[in-house]
Amino acid sequence: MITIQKEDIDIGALIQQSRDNRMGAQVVFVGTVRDDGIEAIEFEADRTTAIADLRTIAAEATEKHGLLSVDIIHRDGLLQMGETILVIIAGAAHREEGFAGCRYIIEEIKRYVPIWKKDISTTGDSHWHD
Amino acid sequence: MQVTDRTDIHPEKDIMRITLRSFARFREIFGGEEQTIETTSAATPKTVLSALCEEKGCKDTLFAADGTFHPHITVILNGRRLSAEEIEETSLADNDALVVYPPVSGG
Repeated sequence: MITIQKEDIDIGALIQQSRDNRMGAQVVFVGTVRDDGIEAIEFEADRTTAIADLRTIAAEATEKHGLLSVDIIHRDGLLQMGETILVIIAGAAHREEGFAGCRYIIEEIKRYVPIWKKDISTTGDSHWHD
Repeated sequence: MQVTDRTDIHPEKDIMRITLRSFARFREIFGGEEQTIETTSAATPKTVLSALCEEKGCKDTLFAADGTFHPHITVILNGRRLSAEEIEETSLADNDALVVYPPVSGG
């Protein structure tokens, strides 16, 4: 599954759904809202382009690292501290491909996928990340 | 949706309309996610965005001191990301769809 959604992500269910018997490894990356002295983070995406970009990145990771499955779910909207922002699951025959593929995916997302975050402070002030 | 008059750029040229979509910080600066801009057949993405920034007082947000585009800003024309060179040199056509992204911060 590759999507952007407001709803929380059932990580356990996603792991089960993406698993098949060819895999010897599933590498899971979970991005969460860190306590940086903020109240929450608001995420905004250009969903159409962002989902197309995520599909491109998944295909590239599959090609470069021999992955057997890729799931990427990124959330948008207002997320409180500790909430899940992003889940990536890279399924592979062996851990080396899984780790390499998962790392490739998160770095590419951070490099160019059109998603933005705005910190909301405890006083209600807010600012966009550059 | 806003309609902004850009006929002052090259008044002798044909008038055309393009749509501009912006997100996050740029949406707030430009005053809306989507707007229609009237410009001329001589316009490029750079001239349109430069004129808009003059109007909104945000030139430093998109352009470096030497006038070049900040490298982490993305410009998309009709669904295709443009290189720095293309932002300066591509001629816009009537009904073109321009999108401008601030630096991304997902993940």
